[in-house]
Amino acid sequence: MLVLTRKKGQVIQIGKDIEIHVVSIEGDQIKIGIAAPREVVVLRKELIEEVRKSNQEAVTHQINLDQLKSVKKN
Amino acid sequence: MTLLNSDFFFQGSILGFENLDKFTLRSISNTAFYQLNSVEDPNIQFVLVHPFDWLSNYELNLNDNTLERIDLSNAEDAMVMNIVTLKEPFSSSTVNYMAPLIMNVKNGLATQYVIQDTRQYSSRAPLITNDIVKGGDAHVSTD
Repeated sequence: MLVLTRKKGQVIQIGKDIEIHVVSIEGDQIKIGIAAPREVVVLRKELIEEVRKSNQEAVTHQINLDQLKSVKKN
Repeated sequence: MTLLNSDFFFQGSILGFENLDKFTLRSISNTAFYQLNSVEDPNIQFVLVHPFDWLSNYELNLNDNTLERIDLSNAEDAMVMNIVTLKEPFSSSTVNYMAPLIMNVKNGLATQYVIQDTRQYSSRAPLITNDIVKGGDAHVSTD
């Protein structure tokens, strides 16, 4: 992994069209601005992992119709 | 709008299933549930619900990237659904309100959208809340 040292207000450019801006630094928190093309999905990694895990757990092999019929929507 | 046997193209956006694109959506008759089956991998099947059936105040703001990804310009063309995780006992089943599936019924393009504000909706909210049993307003606890 490439490790760079940057100061507040400085920018890292990735490829032609992705920019990472160091917006502010407070204690152990860094505020980062990201400018990227629309087709690039930018998400916090832990959110991606949470949703991926939830999706994988949700794969259903058998549907118990009686159970589903027993639930009335609100 | 027909829900029976509609094909949607998720373009690898269902996290954990990035290799899958085409899914078929069907309503499960006589229930409030839908099933979403992968065309490419018959082992992959999800159970879905309409969020508004369970949370009348569910809301989300789609960003431009998402709108563009499914070429959505008209809000009426969007269908929103959430993945259910069926569990034993059934009453402990959960709904992923954090990452809804957004489907454009006009062109069949679809995507899973992750709501960035984690305080808003849980990825594992109870499907059946006490309030539903009591017949009151539904709500989701955020964890």
